[in-house]
Amino acid sequence: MKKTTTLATFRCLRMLYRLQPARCVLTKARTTLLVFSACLLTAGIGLGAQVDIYLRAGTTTLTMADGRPVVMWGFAQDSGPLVQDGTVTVPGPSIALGPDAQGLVIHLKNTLPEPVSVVIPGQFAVQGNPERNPDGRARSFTHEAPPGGTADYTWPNVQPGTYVYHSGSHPALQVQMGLYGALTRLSGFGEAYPGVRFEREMTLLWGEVDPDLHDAVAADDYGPDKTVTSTLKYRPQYFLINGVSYTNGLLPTFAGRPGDRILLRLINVGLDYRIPTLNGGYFSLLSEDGSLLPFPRETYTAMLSPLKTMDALFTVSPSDGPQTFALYDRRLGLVNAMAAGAGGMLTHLDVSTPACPVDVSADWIIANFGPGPVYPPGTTGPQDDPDADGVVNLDEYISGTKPADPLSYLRITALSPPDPLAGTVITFGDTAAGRLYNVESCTNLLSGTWDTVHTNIAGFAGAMWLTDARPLVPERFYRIKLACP
Amino acid sequence: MIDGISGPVFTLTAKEGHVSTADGGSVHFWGLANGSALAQYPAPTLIVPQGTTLQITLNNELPVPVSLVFPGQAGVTATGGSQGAITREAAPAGSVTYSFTASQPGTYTYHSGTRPDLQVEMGIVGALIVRPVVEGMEMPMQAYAHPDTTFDHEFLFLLTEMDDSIHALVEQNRLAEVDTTRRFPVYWFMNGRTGPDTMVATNVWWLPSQPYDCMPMFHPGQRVLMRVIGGGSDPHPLHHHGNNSTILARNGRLLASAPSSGPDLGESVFTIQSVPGETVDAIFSWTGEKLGWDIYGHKPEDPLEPFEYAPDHGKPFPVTLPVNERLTFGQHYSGSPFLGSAGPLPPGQGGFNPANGYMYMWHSHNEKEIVNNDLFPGGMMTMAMIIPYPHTNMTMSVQAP
Repeated sequence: MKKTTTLATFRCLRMLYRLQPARCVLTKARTTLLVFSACLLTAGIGLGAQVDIYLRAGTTTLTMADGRPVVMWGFAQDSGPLVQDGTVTVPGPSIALGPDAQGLVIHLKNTLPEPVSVVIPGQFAVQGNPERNPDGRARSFTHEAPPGGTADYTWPNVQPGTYVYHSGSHPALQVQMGLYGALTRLSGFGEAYPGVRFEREMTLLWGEVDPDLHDAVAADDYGPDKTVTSTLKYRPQYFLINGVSYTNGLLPTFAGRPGDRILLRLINVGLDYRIPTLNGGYFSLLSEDGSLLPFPRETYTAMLSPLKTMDALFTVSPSDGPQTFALYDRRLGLVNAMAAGAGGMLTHLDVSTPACPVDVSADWIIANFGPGPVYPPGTTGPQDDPDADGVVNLDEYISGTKPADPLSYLRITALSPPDPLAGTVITFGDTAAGRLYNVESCTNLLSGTWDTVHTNIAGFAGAMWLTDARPLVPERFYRIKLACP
Repeated sequence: MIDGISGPVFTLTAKEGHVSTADGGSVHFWGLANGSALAQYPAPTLIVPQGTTLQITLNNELPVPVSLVFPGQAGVTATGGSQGAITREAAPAGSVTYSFTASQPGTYTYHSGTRPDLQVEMGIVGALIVRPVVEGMEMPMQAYAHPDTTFDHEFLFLLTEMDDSIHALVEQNRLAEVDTTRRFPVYWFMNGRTGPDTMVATNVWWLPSQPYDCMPMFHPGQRVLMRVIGGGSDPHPLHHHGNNSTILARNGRLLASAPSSGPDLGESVFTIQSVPGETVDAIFSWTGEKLGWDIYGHKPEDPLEPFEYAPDHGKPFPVTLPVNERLTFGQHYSGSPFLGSAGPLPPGQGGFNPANGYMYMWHSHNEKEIVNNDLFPGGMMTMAMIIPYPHTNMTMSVQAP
């Protein structure tokens, strides 16, 4: 039954796609929305899920802004238990849970020379017991993965919000070595907490590096009776946002368009207080530790304690036009060791409306079709459709789908009323982070009149679903529009 | 009133100078001067009415590029100079002009936007006060547009700290050796002075680069607006003895549940958490209520003083004071425990309290910050003086608390 309706969905979708090729619409103006799909009422989707994440603790070397290499400990995300196909990064991979993903299991593999574990402050864990050193002193907050071993960690009911995961073993050393990352869960698509909508989100981890300490660890010169015996004299010399220190010429990060509600997820992963400070505007501080404040506070600073998270909404009035805002640490971690110029925890947020792309980028071609430089004819052009899924490269590029995968393109995959009184659930995919989706409906395809059901819902890599709460009668056609940019 | 300059066209000159510390030290610093005056610490306090368009020209007489940022102000335009990491900068011997409209009332700060880790430490930080426009009031005694923010007196508390070893390297032109990640402050300042210089009058000739005092003085029952600015890079817990204060606003925005609600979310605190880069507005008031004895030493049949806490009127002092021969005296002791009264003191004692007021220490509650390079007392420390109403021609406008 379900399969049949799904096929009908595809057929209907393809037909409409031919009627309204995206390319024609695209060329009109940068504000034009892409028409990708539409379909008729059908049935049944499943919600609620446990997410399994495979993390591997290992070493990596980061080159600091002044050229000094520093050995870090970090996490890689592998695709499964038997492979090591991820890359160790600092911060570790961001774990983003959708609204249906209540349970989280982290399968930890440890390639470091000492035991490692994972804790998430603020989230209920199926608790393990602290491990102890041979002398009886507690060493960890929970059970551990020994060197070369594995351990599983389960959080059965992750709450919406912004959290940090980090090592719960020998934390004085291991957290500052780089064993941390962001965990987020949405309360709904485009919604951070119940009633808190956003169009764009940026997760910013504020971290520090004490290179001398890291050198000692790398040289096995850290520990009892060694040169560095503890983190007591921790003294960071590098100050990083998402693993990057400012250097002259660092380009602004696109944060959103004027009018967009930009959700700033602020996380301190250092050992000292940091004060993210916005130059030229205010943001609305709305949560701490994943918990909404009773009243949001207008401010340009956020006093961010170690391992605390805060969320803020930042919106630039469309009447103020495009602007770039410096975001910096007011504790003044604004230097790269003793380098002369500006450095440290400084980044720039670009709030503007970029033009919709008219061609694919070289990086995208390499990422999807290999390094080349010669590709078979009909593969990499903006109007080519090498996977023959009916969506040309340029549209796949804009929508963030895979141009070499015939099953990856934006479409409605199901229309279903799990509860007929609750309306219609429109399920669509593949979606991509950083994109905005609109749901529209009409009762007569020939009339050409479409109602907006949902506006500018932030994309979430994978499938998304949104509800049209109106009664099921009259029957409606639905389509998804992708905003560009 | 708070000392400052009102522009709205300002010429600030970045140049070097020396600040005095109360332990007898002299610390080289980079500061801003009003026009061609001496560099001052902190930078000149800019005081303008809401809606003013400020034009601030920064002339640079320092050997390094310098710039200014104005957190909390939107639409700041910068012309001249060259683009730096955060804003446009004035090269040595160059200049840059910033302009913006101070659209919202409140307490703000401004500071260097060029290598702020070094230049804020060196002294390029100041206050910006934007007064609300209140209909019918030429000089509004109000911090914000809302009537719950009225005040009788206002005082600035710009809190900073310095590591003199950084300043010594800069003075010796050894900039390449400066490592701000090793910063270890040993001096703590209120409005650019270390205690007890905080209590010396404004513009005294022997503190030529530190024109601003920091000594709150007020009468019982008056509403005292504290404008607190975290000017350095360390947080400071500003602890005010005598009573709690109520926080009205942070970063120039009322703590309000709704746009027109006034500061209804204000907290009552006895230590104001001052965060670097942030500003706090708080209202302090003191009547001596609930001490359980009459602070004026009244007899029950005496009339009430203004704002006196009536339930304690005429209640006896619960302590029998030792005779003077068995006491040592602070310079602020009037010879009497009663507000507004004096008593006999041995020769050479007292004398700093001619109005027979009460003194409360207002200071950093990080107690190591109330020293001058390890010499106690000093640093981020001052005294608040509660001055009784004059006993002659006393008006009996009694207000029950």
